[in-house]
Amino acid sequence: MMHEDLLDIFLEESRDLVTRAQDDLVELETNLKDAALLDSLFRAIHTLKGSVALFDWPSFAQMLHAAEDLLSAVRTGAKPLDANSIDALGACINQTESWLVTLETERALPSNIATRAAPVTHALRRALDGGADKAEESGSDGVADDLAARAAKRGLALEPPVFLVTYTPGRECFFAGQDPVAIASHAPGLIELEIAEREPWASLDDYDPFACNLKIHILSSGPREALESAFSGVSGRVVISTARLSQMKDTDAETDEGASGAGARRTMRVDSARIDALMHTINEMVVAKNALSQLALESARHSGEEMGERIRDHQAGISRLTARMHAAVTAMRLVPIGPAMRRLPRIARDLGARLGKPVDVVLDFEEIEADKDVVDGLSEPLLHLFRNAVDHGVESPDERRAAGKPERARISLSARRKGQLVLIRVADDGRGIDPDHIREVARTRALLPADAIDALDDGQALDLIFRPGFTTASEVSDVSGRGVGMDAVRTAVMKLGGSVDIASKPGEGTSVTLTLPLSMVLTQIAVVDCDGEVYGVPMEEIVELAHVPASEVAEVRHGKALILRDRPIPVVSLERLLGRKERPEDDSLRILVMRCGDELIGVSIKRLVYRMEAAVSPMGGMLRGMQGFAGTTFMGDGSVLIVLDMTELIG
Amino acid sequence: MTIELHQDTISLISACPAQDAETLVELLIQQRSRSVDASACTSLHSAVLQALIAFRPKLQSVPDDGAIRLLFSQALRTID
Repeated sequence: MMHEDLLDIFLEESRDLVTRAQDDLVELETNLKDAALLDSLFRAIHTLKGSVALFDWPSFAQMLHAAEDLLSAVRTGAKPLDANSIDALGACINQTESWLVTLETERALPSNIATRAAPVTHALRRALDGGADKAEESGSDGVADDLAARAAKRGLALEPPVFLVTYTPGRECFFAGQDPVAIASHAPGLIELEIAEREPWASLDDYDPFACNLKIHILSSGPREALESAFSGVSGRVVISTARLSQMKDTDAETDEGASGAGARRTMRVDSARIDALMHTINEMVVAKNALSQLALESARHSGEEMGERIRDHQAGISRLTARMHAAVTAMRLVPIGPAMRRLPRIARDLGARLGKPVDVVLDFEEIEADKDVVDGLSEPLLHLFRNAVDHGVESPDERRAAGKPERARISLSARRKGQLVLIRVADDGRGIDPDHIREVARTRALLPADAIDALDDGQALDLIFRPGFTTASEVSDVSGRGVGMDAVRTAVMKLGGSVDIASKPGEGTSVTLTLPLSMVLTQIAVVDCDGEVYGVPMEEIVELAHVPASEVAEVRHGKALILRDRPIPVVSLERLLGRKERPEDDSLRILVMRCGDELIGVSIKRLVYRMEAAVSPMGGMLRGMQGFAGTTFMGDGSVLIVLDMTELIG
Repeated sequence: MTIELHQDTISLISACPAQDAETLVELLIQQRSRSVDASACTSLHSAVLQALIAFRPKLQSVPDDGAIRLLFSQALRTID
C-alpha cells in the first residue's frame, strides 16, 4: 500500500525535476559540451531515481538508473554525448513525464510499465555501450554495482581490481553452435553473472527460439589476461572494463549532496521584508486603481457619460487582477501559528511556580496558517491572557483543595479554523468570575450609569472587564502588573481585525476566545472631508448615508438628535469628534449613520469624497496606540490617509 | 528426450540442448499457463534459458545442483 502523502510529495518534486531535465536536454542538444547543463541534468535524473526507488516500481527505477549511468559516463568524459544518447535520454524523460501524469490522475502506474520501460532502458544502455571502448578504464557502471550488490548478498567480498565483462552475443550465434551462457559461466574469476534479454520481444507468438537476444554481464576478479583469453573466440562481442564500484569510490558522496540540494528547491525561503515590499507595491496598485474612480467621475462630467463608462470598465478589469495578485501575495505571507502557541506552556508553568500554583497546560490545536502580522500580533495578547489565568484565574493549591479540585490547575489553549477566521481559546479551571462582583466594581468606578449596570445580563457584565481602567485584582502582583488590564487584550486583537469574548462560571473557570482573521483583507473605505482634510471611515461601520434637511436635526439637552425612521439618533459632527472647529451649518446635512455597539449614531460630515478599497495597516511607530485611529493607507495620489476607528472615537 | 510434458507441467531433464528450445517454445505457445519443473535439469543451452527468460513460465522447482541452480537464479532471479 502506497503512502498517499509520500506520493504527493514525490509528484510535486518530480514534476519540477522532469521540467528541469527537459529544459536541460533541449539546451544540451545545441550545447553538447556545457558541463553545467550536464551536471544539472545528471542531478535531476539522479534525484528522480532516488525518489522512484522509494516506491515499488523496479522497471521505472532501472530505466532511470540506465539514464544516470549514461550521463555519468558522459560527465566523466568516458563517453561523448551523441545523437543516440540524446534520443535515449529524451525518451526516458518523456516516459517519466507520461507516468507522472498517470500517477497524478490514477494514483498508480499502469500494469505495463515493464514493457514500456524495457526499450527505453535498452536504448540507454546501448547508447552507453556504443562508446564503451573509451569507457574501459573509467566507466562507473550501474550494472557493476547491481552485480556487486548481489555478490555481497551471497557473502562474497570484493577486492579490487574487479572487472566487468559485457558480452553481447550475435543474433545468429546459436546456429554457429555457440553457447554464450556456457562461455560466460566458465569465465575465470567469476563473481557474479547477469543474463537478460538484450531487447524486449515484441510479441512472443512469433518467438524465434534460435535467434539469440541475450546480453550477459559478468563481474570477475580477473585477471584481465585470463578473461581476454577466455573470450578470445567471441572477442568482437565482448567489452572488458575495470569496474568502479560505488562502494569503492568516494566521489558519490559529493554527487549525492549536490543532488539533494537540488531536490530541496521545492520550497524557497524568502526574506519576509521582500514579501512585505511586494505586498506594499500591490496595495499601492490597488490604490492607483482607486484613482480611476475619481477619473471616471471627472471625465463623465467633462467628456460625457460614455467616457466615464469606459474608464469604469477598465477599472473593473484591473480590479479583478489586483484582487488576484493580492490573494497570491496574501497566501505567501501565511505562517503557522504553532510556534507562537508552543512557547506559552513553559511560560505559564514558570509563572505558576513563582506564584506557588502548579499549572498544567494542555495544547490542542490544528496546524493553522495565518498572516504573519496576525501571528506576530497574537503573542502579546495570548501572553497576557496566560498571565491573567495563572495570576487571577487559578486559585492557590489550598483553595483548590478546599473546593474539592485537584491541586494542579489546568489551562488549555486551543485553536480552530472556522472559514476565514481562527478561533483561539484560553481556558482555565480556576475560580471563575462572579458577574455580581463585576457589577459592583463597575458601580464603584462609575464605568456606566447605575441603571445601565443593573440592566446588564451576566454576559454583558462579564464583558465590562474589557473596559479601559477596569481591574478587579485586589492586590497588584508583579506578574500582571499595574494598569494593563483586559482592555489591552481587546485593543490588540481589534487592531488585528479580530474580537474577544469571555465566558465564565464561578467556581469552574473562565475561557477567553479570540476570533481573528486568517489574513489581512482589503477594506472598503469611505473617504470623508473634515475641515479641509480627508479621513477614511471603514464602510462596514457605516449603516447608511442620510441626506437630511437641517431642520430635521433637533437640539436636545446635550447635543443634537435626528429622528430617522421613527428612531431617535444622536448626531455629532466629525469635526467635533476630531477636536476641530465646528463648521457653519448648511441647509442640508450629510450624516453617516454608524453602528456603535447596539446603538446607532449619526456623524455629520461636510461631504463624502469617494469610496475606495485598501489594505489598512495598523498604526506603527509613534502613532501606535493612538485612540480613535484604526490605521493608515495610501490614496491614489500617494498621500497617506488616516482611517478612523469610529467606535473608539464615539466611545 | 530431455523435455517432457506431464499434464500441464513441462519437465526439463538432464542436459538440455539448443533443440529443446524449439519444443519448449511450442509447448508454451500452445498453452501459456504451463509451468516448468527444472529439478532434474543438470545443464541447459543458452537458447533454452533464453526461452525461459522470454516466456517466464511458472517454475515449479529449480535444480538442486549448485552451478546450474545459481545460473537459474542469475538469469531468472528465482532465489534473490
